[in-house]
Amino acid sequence: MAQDAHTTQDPTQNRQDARQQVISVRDLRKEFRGTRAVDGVSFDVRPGRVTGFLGPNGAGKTTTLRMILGLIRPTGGSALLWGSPYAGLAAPTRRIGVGLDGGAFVGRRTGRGHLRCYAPAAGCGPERVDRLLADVGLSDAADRPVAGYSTGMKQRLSLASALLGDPELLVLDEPANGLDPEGMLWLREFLRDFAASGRTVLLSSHLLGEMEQTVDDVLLMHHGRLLSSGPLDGLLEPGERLESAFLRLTRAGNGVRA
Amino acid sequence: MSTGTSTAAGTSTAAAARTDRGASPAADSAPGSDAVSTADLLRSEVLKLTTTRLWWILLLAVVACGAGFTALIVFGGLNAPRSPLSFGSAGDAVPAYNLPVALAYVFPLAIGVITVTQEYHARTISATLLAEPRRARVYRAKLVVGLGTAFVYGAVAVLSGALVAAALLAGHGKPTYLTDGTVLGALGGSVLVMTLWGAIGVGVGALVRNQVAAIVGILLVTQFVEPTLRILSSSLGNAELGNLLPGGAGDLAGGGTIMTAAAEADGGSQGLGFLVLFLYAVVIGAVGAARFTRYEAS
Repeated sequence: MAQDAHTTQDPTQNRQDARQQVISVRDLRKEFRGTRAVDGVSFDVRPGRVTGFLGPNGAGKTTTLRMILGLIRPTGGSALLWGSPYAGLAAPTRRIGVGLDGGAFVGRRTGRGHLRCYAPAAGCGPERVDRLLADVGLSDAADRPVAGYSTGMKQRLSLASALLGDPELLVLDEPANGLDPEGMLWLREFLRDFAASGRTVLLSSHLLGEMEQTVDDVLLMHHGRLLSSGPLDGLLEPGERLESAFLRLTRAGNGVRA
Repeated sequence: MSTGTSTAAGTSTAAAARTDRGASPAADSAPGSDAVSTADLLRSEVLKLTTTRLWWILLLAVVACGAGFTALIVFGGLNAPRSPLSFGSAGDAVPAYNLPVALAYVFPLAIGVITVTQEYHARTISATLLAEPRRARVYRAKLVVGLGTAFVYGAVAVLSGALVAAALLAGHGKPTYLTDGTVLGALGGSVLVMTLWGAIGVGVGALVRNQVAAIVGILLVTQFVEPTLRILSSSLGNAELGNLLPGGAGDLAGGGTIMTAAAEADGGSQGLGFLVLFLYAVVIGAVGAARFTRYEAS
């Protein structure tokens, strides 16, 4: 995005650059038993922006996010947050809030119970847990087991969980899945406000139409490769929708190694 | 990565954010400053256990199993015309007092297993490793909480079993031997054995990961495979070999149980039992740690 990955000569210079960015990914690759799930992806996520990581299901978005977050090991390349790998951050959930695959919960645990389990590491007290539950509209359901929650409620609990440590970066995997139109609107406004306060959002989605109205920057991914990266305005031709732009770029063939 | 670099980076990138965030109360968080404390990690693990009902369902089960079977078997021993139990001396009474460890050790083992497998089963392992990416620390916290919970299970099961046995003995006008060193050593040994089983459970959980497979596995091994092997080794004239199996070692470390007697394997000492069980805990715990720190959380 701001600078592209042709600066491999000097590793220290690279690290300096990486610190200017919230997230800095260089030539990231992942193979699962011979299949290239992520194939040489490079991009930066800039502070104070909502960056949409877009592409169809199976494009490699989730795998890339999981590599950034240190949950799976890359086959090659690097992913840095503020110039440091995820595992190098002291108390990561105090800076980074993460919501993965619609939330993963123990069904018999209550919503409040779930938040309490992850509150200590995020430095979050019981009052903030209450406030977050209220913010995402789960106060009434807070003491019921998560197994009885709808998909939308789980999404909102997942978001509350990501916000435990009052983070400056939110990484959300498909946060719009299962939300009703009202929830979608609420999420959009929430993310816009979050970024407007100088904080950063990276979210993945396959809902191109919805993301068009939410994101500042776009990372378009297809078959493990980055087709395009940059501000949304720069990607779209006049009057063009994101969906048509995606089709135009995939038809153009191989995808650019950004 | 040192704390210094991350805060330095933070001040530049989030300088604009700070001023805005002053309005919202962010006092309870210190972004990127200190590492997650051990106390916070332990609190988190304890909460994971206490925020579902499973831990006290298993606690009720360990008490029901320990005290219930003690009541049944001691009552039978006191009233049946022919009984494998006798109560002529403190040493004779030990197998009666050790019924909880002989029959209920699978519960501390199970809770240890579940502290790990539940995270993979519910896929909360991602959230756990995001909160503390240093996986060895997470594993250690699970080990400590597994040991602590197993200790509670052991203490409650052994104590309730001992009360039932002593009450039945006293009701029959027999001495309870409760203050006798041999019986006290057996009771203390039983609690320690149950505690060690918790650590073995954490290791087994990390090795197997699949909750159903792990639970079915420990039930099969503890309730069927091991007893069969112990009886088999006894009938082949090598009863002491059974003491090298974890359950056999645990029975011996508790000071001998009805299983030890049934397999005629009461040759070994309590200390040998502890040594063998402790080695199992160390090896399984270490192999579990190696696996836990290498899995990909996808």
